[in-house]
Amino acid sequence: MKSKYAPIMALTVLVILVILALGWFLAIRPQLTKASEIRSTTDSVQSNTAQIQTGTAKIKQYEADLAALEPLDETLALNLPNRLDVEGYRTRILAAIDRAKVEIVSLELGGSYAVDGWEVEPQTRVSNSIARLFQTAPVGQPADATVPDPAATPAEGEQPGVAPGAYSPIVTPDTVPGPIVDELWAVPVSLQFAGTYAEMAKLFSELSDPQSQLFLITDVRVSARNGDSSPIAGVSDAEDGDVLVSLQGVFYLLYPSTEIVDDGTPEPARPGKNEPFVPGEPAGEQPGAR
Amino acid sequence: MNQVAKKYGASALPGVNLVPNEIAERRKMRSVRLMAIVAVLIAIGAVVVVYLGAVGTRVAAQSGLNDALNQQDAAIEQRDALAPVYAAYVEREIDEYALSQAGWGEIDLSQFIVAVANEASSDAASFTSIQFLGPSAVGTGGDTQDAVFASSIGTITFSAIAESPQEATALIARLEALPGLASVRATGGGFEGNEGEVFWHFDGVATVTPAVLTMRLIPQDSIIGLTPESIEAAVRAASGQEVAPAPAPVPSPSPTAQAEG
Repeated sequence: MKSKYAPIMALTVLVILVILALGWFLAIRPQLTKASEIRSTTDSVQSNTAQIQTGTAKIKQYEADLAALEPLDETLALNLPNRLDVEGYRTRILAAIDRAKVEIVSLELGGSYAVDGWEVEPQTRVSNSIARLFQTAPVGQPADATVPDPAATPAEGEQPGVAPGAYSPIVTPDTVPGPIVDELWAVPVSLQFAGTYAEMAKLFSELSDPQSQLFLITDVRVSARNGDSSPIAGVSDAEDGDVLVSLQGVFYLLYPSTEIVDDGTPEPARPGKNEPFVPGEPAGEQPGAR
Repeated sequence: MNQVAKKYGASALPGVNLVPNEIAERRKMRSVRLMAIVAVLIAIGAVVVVYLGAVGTRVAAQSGLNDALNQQDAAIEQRDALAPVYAAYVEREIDEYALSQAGWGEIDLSQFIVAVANEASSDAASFTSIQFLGPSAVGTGGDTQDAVFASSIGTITFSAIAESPQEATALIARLEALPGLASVRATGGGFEGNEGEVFWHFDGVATVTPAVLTMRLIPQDSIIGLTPESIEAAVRAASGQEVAPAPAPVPSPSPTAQAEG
């Protein structure tokens, strides 16, 4: 077709095509692409939110499970206090000796020592299972673009492998194997006494009173103390069938307090009527003496 | 035929265009240009409309993203508010492990020592000494270092006298049958006299088994899931002793925790 309007029409079509092309590629398509990316991000955020909510529900279940457990506070306070009641343990042992009617030979307090806590693999701990539920980080935010470089040297105060501005969970699981209990101390007490076989059994029963602090007897030596045995100061003469018992037990302290407790203020003190270095009345017979 | 021709009955004559061709073509050209411009404007308008639609789509998507982010922030805030649950479990673990480690080795000696001693309550055999080495928080009590007679949580060594080696064997057999003792054997023996009385003197050793542990301080509602067997294995592993065939050497978490993976 040959027409003098053809160039105009062709030019018009060309201009329209250029407008449409420029409009599509420079204006419309970027907007649609951006909208698509945003919708994709929204899907990720919603999926992540659902995951967080699932974790939250599990944590709440853990909370309910823990609340249903029998509390250990009283048991701990009784058996693993943070301070040894010196007067209390001596009174307890001496009272038990009186009730059992044995005769004490010696009572010693040994030097305390730390007990290494049992080592536990972190992944076996329930608390670590809970900590993992706190690790889901938010997505769809600018901070996500920051990927930590594991090889980077962290600055002071930063966690290794965590880029500045990266999400830091409120709870971090423990990944290093080691003891859970790091401050368990033992205070050994040694006791030697003499008595009959039945009285010995009675004393063991008295010392294992579950209403008192745990006194774990770890070492016992029972020796026959028959009538021809050597005399022991302060103790009745032996008869056939008697026993001489040496035992060592341990009191345990959890997170012992090293605080010095010293109430009151010193008052002026002068030598008085009492003579503290003059021997007083000698020991009489013990309550369990025959 | 035009209307005037129809009115006067004029014959049908071809219409005469009095407008000069140049003017007519100029008009047509203007018309064509106008159409071209309109077409271009329509195209521009269409692009603008579609662009505005795309922008609207993007804005709506952004709004949806903002809502989702707000919900995510709220979910994280709600979850992080439960951080004390983690701390409470850590504290509970410490409490349970401390009680378990300190108290697992408790034995009711008023029963156990008496039960052991009672086995010699006869004229045929009697003890001259009994030594008990029991478990504690730092490990098991004593090890006989004899691979054939395996060790367990503690050891009893004893010295006794009997009227004959047969009675000594009988005492060993009675001790072996006693719950809580195993691997009872005499490590030496012979006749010895004292002031005219002759006895068969012998020394023995036995292994104390977990059967006598009270386990009263092991929490029944435990989240750490310790059992006497796993405790014994863990203690032996920690103290460097050979681990006897037993359940997992490390305490296992509760089934709930395992389910969490």
